[in-house]
Amino acid sequence: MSEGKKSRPDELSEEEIPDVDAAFSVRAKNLRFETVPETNVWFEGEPAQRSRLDTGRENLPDEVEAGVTYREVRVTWRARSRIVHPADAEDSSERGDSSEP
Amino acid sequence: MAKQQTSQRKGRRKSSGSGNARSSKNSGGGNSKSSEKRRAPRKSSQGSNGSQGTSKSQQRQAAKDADRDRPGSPFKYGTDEGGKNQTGGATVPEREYQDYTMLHPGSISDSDEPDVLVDIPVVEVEEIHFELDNLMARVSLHAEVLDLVKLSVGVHAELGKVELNIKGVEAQALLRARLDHVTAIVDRVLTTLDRNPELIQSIGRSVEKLGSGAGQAVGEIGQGAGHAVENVGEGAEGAVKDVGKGAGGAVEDVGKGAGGAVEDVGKGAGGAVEDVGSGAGQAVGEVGKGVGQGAGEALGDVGQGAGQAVGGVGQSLGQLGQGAGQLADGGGGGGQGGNGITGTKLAKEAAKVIAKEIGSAATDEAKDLGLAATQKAVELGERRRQKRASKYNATEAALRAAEEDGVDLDEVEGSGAEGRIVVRDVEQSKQKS
Repeated sequence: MSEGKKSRPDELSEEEIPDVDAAFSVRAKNLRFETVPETNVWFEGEPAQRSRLDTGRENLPDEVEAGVTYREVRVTWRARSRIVHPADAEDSSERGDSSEP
Repeated sequence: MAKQQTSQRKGRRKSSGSGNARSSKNSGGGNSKSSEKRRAPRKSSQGSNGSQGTSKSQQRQAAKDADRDRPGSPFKYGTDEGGKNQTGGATVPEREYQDYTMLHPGSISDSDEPDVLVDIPVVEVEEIHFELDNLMARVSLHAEVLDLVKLSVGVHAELGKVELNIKGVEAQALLRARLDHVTAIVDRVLTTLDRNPELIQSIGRSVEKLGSGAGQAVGEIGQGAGHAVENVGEGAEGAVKDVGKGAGGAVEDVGKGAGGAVEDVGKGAGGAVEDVGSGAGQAVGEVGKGVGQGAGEALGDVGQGAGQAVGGVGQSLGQLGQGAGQLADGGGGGGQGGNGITGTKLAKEAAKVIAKEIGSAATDEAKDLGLAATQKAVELGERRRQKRASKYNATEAALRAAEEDGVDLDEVEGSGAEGRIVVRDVEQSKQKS
């Protein structure tokens, strides 16, 4: 099993609640690529965003090969993103103030 | 085109709200052949949770739990309390699809409940042959409130040409969008405006300066610079240039002068409104458009009246200043409304007055604007460029406020977009000192 995880300074933490959350999971007994695609995943946000992309693979290499049959494959993919707005900072600072004893 | 064979079923959880969720747009050619055998959901009754236990399903459940608890699993949803079932530990989807459930919409807490939920619990397909070209998928959330707030967030996935065979497929998907955060942002922006009406009043104050400085006219105005109403300058300059072409070289100089002057008017108004914030900045963009159009039309009249030439541009600008000043006096209180609508209307009304005054004055008497006005406008343009080249990351209204209040911008920390110094920062710095 291989797991890919992109780590960025502005990565969304596990604790943060995303505004948009997309998760997919596929299991297959046999998987065979005749043509290997190029893939691209990106996030957008206005005014800004924090995001994270988590993927998991079982019995599937990071780079698949055409014409090879992979068996008992599982792929999980989850993308999460949250808007970042200047008002968030004010909000969190206010919360911090109010939480002080 | 590819056939998308999926099953979609509303989850047990409430699905409501006004979000905008889009997914799976196949923008390319392709085809797919598949034979699908979707497992029919078993009927479940509340309270009969334990009746479905079989050795096979128990094994599946154990495997599922192991998957979920596996370190690094992207589908480990915090707590696993089994949702809000009243009669047992498993959610309704889990009970119905417990052989397949890999994702757990019911295992998220109440506070995480999405406003938009697309839950595709399981799709079982015996065999799929895919031939796809340029599959584009996008899940996004957009929110706009007038011209004040524009928010969006989303994920894009792009798949180039792909051809594959899959056998024994089990697929599952969850799409969720939450609006709480978006709502909170919008609420906070509006609350900020409500609590700080001076942000909107600053519009009026700046325009008022425009009026008071009508005699010196363009000098004061030219110190301001902004983006929003720059179209005024461009439109006016172009229009008056046409006048110059029609009436001769002398009038062309007048046109250039008037163009520069009006452009500076735009800069001043734009800089003032810019302080309202990024959302208000967009609102002022509309002002800019309006002013641009108005000025273009007005100065179009200049072209018609070119034979009558170019008399009282100074006077017209004076009238313009008076009009804007009066408007600002009346509009300053508009900030108490606590939202950007009043500010936008104010700026639009100012734009109308500006355009009207320019048009009437320029049409009737655009005669005596002489070399002095042209030189003045050139000086103003140079000054404006110097301001633009300023090292401070500050709005020009903030620069002006700092000069007036004697505040050292090096000591001011910006709170605007990308740390930009705005008038509010200058005022706060002055209060601290």
